[in-house]
Amino acid sequence: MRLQVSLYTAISIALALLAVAPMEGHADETLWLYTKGAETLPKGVVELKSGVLSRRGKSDSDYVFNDFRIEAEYGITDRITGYAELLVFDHDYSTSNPDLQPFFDTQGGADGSFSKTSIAGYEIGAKFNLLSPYKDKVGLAVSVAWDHRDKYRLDGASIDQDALELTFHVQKNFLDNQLIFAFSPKIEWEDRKSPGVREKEIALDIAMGGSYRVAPNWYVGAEFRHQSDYLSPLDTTTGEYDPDLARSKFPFHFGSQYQNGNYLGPTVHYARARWWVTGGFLWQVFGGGKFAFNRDGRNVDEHEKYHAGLTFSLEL
Amino acid sequence: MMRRHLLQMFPLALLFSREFAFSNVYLTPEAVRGALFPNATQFIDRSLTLTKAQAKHIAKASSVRVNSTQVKVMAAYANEHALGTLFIDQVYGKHEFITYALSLDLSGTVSGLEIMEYRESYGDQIRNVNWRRQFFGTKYGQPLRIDEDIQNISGATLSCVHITNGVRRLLTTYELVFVDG
Repeated sequence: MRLQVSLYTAISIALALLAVAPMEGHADETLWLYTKGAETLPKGVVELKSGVLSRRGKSDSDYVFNDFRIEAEYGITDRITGYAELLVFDHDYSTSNPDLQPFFDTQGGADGSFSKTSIAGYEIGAKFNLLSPYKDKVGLAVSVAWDHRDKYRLDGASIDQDALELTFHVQKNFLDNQLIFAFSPKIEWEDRKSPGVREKEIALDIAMGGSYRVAPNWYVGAEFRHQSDYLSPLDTTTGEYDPDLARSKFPFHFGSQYQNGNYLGPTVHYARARWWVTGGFLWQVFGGGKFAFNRDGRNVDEHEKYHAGLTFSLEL
Repeated sequence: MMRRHLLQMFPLALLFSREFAFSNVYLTPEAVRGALFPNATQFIDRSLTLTKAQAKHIAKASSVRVNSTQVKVMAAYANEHALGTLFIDQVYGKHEFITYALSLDLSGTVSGLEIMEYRESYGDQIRNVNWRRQFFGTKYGQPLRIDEDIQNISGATLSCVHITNGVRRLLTTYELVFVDG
């Protein structure tokens, strides 16, 4: 009861702060699940985002991974937005297939299962707008971020991972800015330590989307996302690299592609003056890779059958 | 107990009251007439619907899309004497429409620009008189390009671009439909 009263009070205070906060506006709206446009927040604006990407379905497994993100963004200048993000991973799966790794081992073998929600890490970064999508031929921004994780996104196992991320945001608007296309290729340099293995990996995450304002406040669109890994796994007990994989050499030399997944689906976005919400549903349309667990032309170990996402953003 | 719950609901009510208070109407059509033509004694409605050919011609000459063929326009008079022309128009904002009024004198030169309704939470710096004053004295044939002839306001770029394009479209409409037409 005491906790309940405290919660009521906290919510009341938070709402009161929102209600008396300075009225500013948001520009960095996300119309898709993965693709991000070239806009940045106006100077002094604070935006809070809360989102979940539910990644579901793998081969021979009831697999659910809810990837929760809680983010605060701040307009440092009209062209630079800084942000900090907390990652919460919620895994729930069980598989009877011993070849479906690392899930089978992590769940504890044939009769095991894994169900856990935990704080998985954080990300801090900044986005720099170079060209405006409204007055230049094409909008362009660059993001740089640092990501640290204590949990592995696939199976929820404990790891120690640091990653540097570089993303380009290209945006082109048509029809008085009612039709918006964006392309956001991201490259990640990951250094992941888990028991017995140290993996240095370059990952590509290439997202693109188009969205049209079908009515005031409403955008409906579609999104495509490609994700692939280029690994250099080191066996820390023998000190040797996997001989079947050409090594990635940092910063830009890509080794063997380990796996890839490609998704496509619809998105919808609704925005009011101080808040917006974006939802989407992406299916894996094709995937694979030399070292992936593939079935019917899809990657079913590193990737999922579909991703359903919802993001809510409130401007303070 | 009931009183405490009511008190806790107050911030929520305040938050939503702010959300819905965003439909900012700064000037009604009646008020904008007085603001842009203070000496006028009557306004005669000259509103019209553009033909497809006219809309196409205006879009080509102004390099701005014609999203609506309805043109809301009035002629202002002080007794018998014509004073000028008043347009009331809309352009796209980030989420909603921005309603504005443009006044031209008898030579077709911009004499005033007022933002009547602005429903976005950010970008209403375009209401600043120093920004609007950049349009005063301009007329059809002048390029009116953002960052070249009209200064942009950082953080309000979409509104600046759309209002600038809207003024260029109305000046073209005036010249091609009301002067040449």
